[in-house]
Amino acid sequence: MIALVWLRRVERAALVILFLSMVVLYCGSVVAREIGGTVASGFAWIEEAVRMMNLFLVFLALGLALERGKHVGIHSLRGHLPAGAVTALCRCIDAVGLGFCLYVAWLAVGLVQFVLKTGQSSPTLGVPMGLIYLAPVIGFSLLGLRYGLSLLGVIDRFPAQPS
Amino acid sequence: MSFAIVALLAVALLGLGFEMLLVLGVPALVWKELEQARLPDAAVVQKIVGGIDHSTLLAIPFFIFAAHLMGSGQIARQLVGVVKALVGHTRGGIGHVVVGGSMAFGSVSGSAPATVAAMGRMAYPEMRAAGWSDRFSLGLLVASAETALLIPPSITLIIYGWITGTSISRLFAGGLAVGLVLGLAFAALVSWQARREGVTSAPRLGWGARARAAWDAKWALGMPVIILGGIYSGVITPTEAAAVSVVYAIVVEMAVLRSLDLRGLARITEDSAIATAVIFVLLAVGGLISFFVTLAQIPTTIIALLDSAEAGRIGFLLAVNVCFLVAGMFIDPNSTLLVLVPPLYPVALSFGIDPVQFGMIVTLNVCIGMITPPFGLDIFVASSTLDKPVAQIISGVWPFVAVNIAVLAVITYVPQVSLIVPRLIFG
Repeated sequence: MIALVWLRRVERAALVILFLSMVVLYCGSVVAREIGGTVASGFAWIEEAVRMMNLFLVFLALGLALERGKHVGIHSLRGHLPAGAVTALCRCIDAVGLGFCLYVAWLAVGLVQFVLKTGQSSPTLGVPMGLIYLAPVIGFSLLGLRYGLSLLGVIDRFPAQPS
Repeated sequence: MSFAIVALLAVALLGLGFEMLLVLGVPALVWKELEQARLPDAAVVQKIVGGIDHSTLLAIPFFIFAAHLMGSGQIARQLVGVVKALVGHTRGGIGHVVVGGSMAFGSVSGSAPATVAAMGRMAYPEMRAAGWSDRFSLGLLVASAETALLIPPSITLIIYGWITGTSISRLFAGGLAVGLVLGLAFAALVSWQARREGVTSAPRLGWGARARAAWDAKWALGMPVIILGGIYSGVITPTEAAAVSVVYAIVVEMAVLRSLDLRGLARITEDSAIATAVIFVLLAVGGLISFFVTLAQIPTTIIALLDSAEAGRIGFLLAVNVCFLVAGMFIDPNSTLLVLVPPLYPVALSFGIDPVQFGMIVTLNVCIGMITPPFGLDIFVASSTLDKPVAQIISGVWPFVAVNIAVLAVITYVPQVSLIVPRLIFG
């Protein structure tokens, strides 16, 4: 699964770059306000940019979080079930997760198209608002991909979950 | 009828081990189809994105990042070292260090599970060596970590503030007072138990040695100064304090203490991003739930129900405590807040309860849930960190649950405890 290895690399690199950029930008805005005087008003776009970056950070990390067993849940029951029932339950969770993600991603695609048609743009950056809703499209697609891969047995995400 | 179906579905998904985002998200979508079918589909995504697109919430990723940096590096250990130098000689010695150290670690991490993991590794062997029983040691380590949810910066309080629109700075001030009260209550239990178990304490350090310990930890002590001093002096907002604390932690850990390299920074950044996503996806789905709670006029129904039962303020607060305690035993703190605060907060306001006091009641309940069986998250973290059976840890937490409930009763019926510090600072 070379494609999956590369996908993980891209996700990890994007997360690191996004998060560190958010920190630098936000701190930069504090410094600019404290010592920049009137110049600081020129940095009003930073907060909006960081909020937007945070949206992409959150949604981009969803797939990796699932693969690593980081999403919160109560998994104690599984320890008391026979092996066959555990397998069936895990497949059921993956199937429901895949369906949920695909449905929300599909709704988000509709919203992206709708908002892009309205021509709305963000107040300080002037970015088309429709692009912001690309974050859930990407995020739920990545999450759905992991649920799908787990359903097909390509990845085994369940041992990573705390019991 | 629809409500019963959705509630049953949520309980079934929860019990079967579905991820929490599905436990909250799937019933929300089912509710939308059953009760709000005419609502445009676009509103679902709008509420999901709108649920996390707030400046206030930016404090969470930054505080998580700072906590990961300090927990992986030296800052957290140095803070605990200062506490040890100051109180290690008292009756109960290392027991007090666990309480004080958890508060100190909590003051930079804001996360109870992170505090259990860090303090457990550092202090458990020392507690056993000092003669503390296994049961009490485990109970103390798990329970003390709760203070991280109260002592600022607390992620739980930020989420409560975001849900209710309450000032984060005021909540942090209230959390400081309640966290200290809880810490003192635990310290009293430690002193009492120390007599019964006949434990040893460390030799008393001279003031010179204590001053040296504080000086050695000067960079670590700068962190709470930046966070609390920055916020309460009015120089920076809580979100800005969070971002500045990340830069401070990176500079101190990499350039001053040299405990972190670039590869380590990349790994911690990635882990922090994933930890952020895990919380934020619940907030996103929670945004959808809050929207449906408002549309369904659930708060109005609760007020009418309480009126008809002539419950009054005291009865309402008792009901709140029971609801949160039971929910906290089964689901994680953030999900508990997202499900229960939107319908109960307007009712609390209608009874004239101060938003800060209500926040403290809610947060302390969530704290108790984290150490209460069957699913208290901190119990499982301690079990995996210290490689101890869950049953053994559970047997040690009961005295602390009792202390917590006593403190909760005080917080619930004496509003001044929660409000005195915010009023002193903000008037």
